[in-house]
Amino acid sequence: MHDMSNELTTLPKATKKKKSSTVIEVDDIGFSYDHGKTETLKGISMTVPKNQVTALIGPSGCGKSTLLRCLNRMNDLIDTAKITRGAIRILGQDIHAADVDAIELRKQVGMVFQKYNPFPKSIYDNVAYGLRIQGVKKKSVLDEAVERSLKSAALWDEAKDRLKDSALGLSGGQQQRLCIARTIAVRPKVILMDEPCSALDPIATAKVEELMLELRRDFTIVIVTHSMQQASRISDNTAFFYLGELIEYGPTTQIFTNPSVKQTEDYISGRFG
Amino acid sequence: MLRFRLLYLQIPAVPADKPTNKPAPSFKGKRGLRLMGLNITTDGVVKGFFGGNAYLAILALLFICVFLLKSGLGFVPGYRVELSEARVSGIELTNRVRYELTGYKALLARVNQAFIAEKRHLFSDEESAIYLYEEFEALIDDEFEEDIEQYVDLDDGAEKEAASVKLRADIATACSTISEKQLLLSLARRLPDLKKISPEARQQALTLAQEYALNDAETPDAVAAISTRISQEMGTFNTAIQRIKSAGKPLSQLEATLTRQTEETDRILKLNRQTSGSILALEEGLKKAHKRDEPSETITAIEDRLKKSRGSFIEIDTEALIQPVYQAIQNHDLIVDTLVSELAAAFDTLPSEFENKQVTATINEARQLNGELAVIIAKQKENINAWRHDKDVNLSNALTAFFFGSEWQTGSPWQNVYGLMPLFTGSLLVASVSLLFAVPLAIGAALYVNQFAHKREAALIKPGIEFIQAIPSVVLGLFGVLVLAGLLKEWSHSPLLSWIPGFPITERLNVLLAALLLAFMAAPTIFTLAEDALNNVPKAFTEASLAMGATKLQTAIKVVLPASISGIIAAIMLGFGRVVGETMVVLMVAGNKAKIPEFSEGLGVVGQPVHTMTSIIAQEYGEVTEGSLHWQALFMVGLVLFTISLVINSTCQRVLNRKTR
Ligand SMILES: Nc1ncnc2c1ncn2[C@@H]1O[C@H](COP(=O)(O)OP(=O)(O)OP(=O)(O)O)[C@@H](O)[C@H]1O
Ligand SMILES: [Mg+2]
Repeated sequence: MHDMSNELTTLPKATKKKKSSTVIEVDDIGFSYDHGKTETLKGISMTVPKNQVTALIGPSGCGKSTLLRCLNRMNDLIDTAKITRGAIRILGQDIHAADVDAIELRKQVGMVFQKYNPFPKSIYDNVAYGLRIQGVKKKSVLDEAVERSLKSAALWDEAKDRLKDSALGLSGGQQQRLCIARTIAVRPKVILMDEPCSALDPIATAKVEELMLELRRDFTIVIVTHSMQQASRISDNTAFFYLGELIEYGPTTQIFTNPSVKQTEDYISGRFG
Repeated sequence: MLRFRLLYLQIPAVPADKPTNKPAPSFKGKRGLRLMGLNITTDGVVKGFFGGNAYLAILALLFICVFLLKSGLGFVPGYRVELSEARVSGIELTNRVRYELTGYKALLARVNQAFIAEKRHLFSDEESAIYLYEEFEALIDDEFEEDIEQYVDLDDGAEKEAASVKLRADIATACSTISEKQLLLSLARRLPDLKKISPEARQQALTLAQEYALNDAETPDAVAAISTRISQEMGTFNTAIQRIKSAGKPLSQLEATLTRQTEETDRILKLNRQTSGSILALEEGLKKAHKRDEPSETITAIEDRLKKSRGSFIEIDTEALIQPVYQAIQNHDLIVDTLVSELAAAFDTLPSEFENKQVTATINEARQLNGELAVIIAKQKENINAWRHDKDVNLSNALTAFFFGSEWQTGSPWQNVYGLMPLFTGSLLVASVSLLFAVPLAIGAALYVNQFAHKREAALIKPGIEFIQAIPSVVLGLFGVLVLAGLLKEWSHSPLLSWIPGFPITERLNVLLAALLLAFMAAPTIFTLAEDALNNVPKAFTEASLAMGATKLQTAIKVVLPASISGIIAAIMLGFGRVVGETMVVLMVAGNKAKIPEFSEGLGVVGQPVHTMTSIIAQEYGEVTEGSLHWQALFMVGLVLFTISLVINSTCQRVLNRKTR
């Protein structure tokens, strides 16, 4: 299902070993929240390989979420926001090209938010939402998609007897997994996650992390996290940001054991700021 | 499973707080002013002030409730007395006969209408020719009197021949100078719906007029001949109408007899009630005067008046008074049975199809009314035969008569009735129709402003809509009465808009007009509250939806709207409450006709005038005397309004609480 329309080979060294191809290519991107007066992202370049988990880390306010939201053009919703330079290509396609529709893009690039946010609808309706807005009406198709997605999100066993119940009756961890199920129901190519576990307790966090390792097989995942343990546990690559710049990017093992930049080491070892 | 050195675990310890040299905290509060054993502090005063105000508000509310209840509920026993008097005097019985008569009259009116339409259809030219001729005749009398005299005096011969030609020509010229518009205006009284005078009719009228002139101002026989021909041609129809008319006469007579009889009884009863009232008052006064040791002149004066009052009090034998009524009503069965069979026979003589569709439709309506009348009569026969003047009227009868009474009639010399239904349905109808306009408008605007509008646009729309609320309702009402009413009526006659239910409108002031203006008043309320509700939908929902590739419209309709539905329902309900409670506008534009609207017209019901609970109070409070039954009835209506508001508000609270559960 993930046949790549445009295979790129400019990959970080470590991932080359896994013979992975690039899904996202960020090319010297600059971004501003105020019509270009000040840049929040100052020329970021990086590539995200297929079927891997890529973690974005860095101190608060460094622009991780901003970059993530550039990838599915959620920043379009802010009137004053502007891409000041560079380009982002996903599956080889420039996402800011004139003929690209942000709506279509977001169907391919799903997003899971920091605070779990299922709709105040039933579990079933939440998962079916994405397909329904795409015009799918057939019950058998929806049923199949709901079951598949909930299974993928490791929620099926807990939810299968209460599909018609309100999603808000689930526990926090279950709700976040439901949000993941909702996102994968439309079979996106990429899943963006912005601190998906920060509102969860350790056990729920462990479950979601386990899930991400599973999902890696079918999706490409970009995750923002504040937890260094989490980044080290689940990600294949880690990018460290500081004040809107990409300081260091490489395989997670290398970043955490042998960072080449002093700032990265300081941050990782908690000697920061 | 540590595969590598975890640098991040080496977190330096946080240095402990250094001890400071601050003084130890004290827990003593400031002492307030001591006054009469009370400790008065600023906090206490402020708290007392706000608390006092809050309790004052509640106290005022309680006071209003108690007052409403006290004044309103006294109505029920009072109404019971009035209803039982209407029974004893026979008014109630007469009303039943009147009810039948009303049904008959409606039918008669319909048949008459059909007759006129048929005549117009068949003899449009002839009829207008006759009336037109009469116009010309007046003109000739005015202008050609001398010419006619001269002409008549002439001897027969060539000269007379020439004069006749000249007179004819002069008359033709004079008649042709009158414009069509002017003629239509003159004929409007007799042929109100005549739109155009045909050339044939005009020619015929002219010929008749010329004949009239040359005949020494004698009405030509041809005029009478036309009239005769018309009535002959309309013969069957005419006979049927005459038959229907005479069939109703006995019932009319019965009603007149009953009315005369009961009015007399009622007068006597009322007089006696007054007298007994004043006797009671005088007796009371006498007792007091004795107690207070008033001078003997005062006491004798009171005693005198008491004696007089006692003298004018008649011992009434209600049995005897009511006997003529029972006698008259004996014939009722026979009268109505004959009426039903006569009507049926008369309708049988009429053809089922007329050349003119309009006439056929009207006659069919009349036939239907005839069927309904038969049903009414069958029911009233039972009612009338079971009627007894001395049957007790109890409190629940009075309550039912108020809550389900279909008539509100005050200041009537016959009988005052206080039935809530016309007002209740009026209020409900106006409010519902206005919500029909206001809800889509307000919710749509709220959704737009909240979900789609640019910030600057929202900054324009929001205060704009909210400002509408600031328009004094009397100004809106004025605009409605003086401007919109006329416009609406005019537009309603446009053929382009004839598909709208209720169009064309015949009443200038009506439900639709009131609803439109009220929608204007309800919309800001609904808009503001709905916008708040939409605003309360967490941004996270919108983001989640958009991030899934939903459009803004899909997000608004499938996520935001459902998530805020309880708030929106509450907004609509409060809008409803606002409209139901609104007074000035409905008083000015709803038409103030206290009659249950004809729901049989379907959606066309919006073209009718109505009265509402609020406007009846505003309209009639000035003309009631304190403590009278009418006064109490208005308070009853107020009580109902109050209850409705209370229910709406508490339901809203519950709906909203359910959301924030
Ligand atoms: N909607 C916005 N409008 C204007 N400025 C914004 C907006 N969102 C973020 N910023 C600014 O952009 C900068 C980067 O923010 P961003 O949210 O990307 O940081 P982050 O790395 O995700 O931080 P955190 O770890 O706290 O989530 C911050 O200085 C922030 O104040
Ligand atoms: Mg962030």
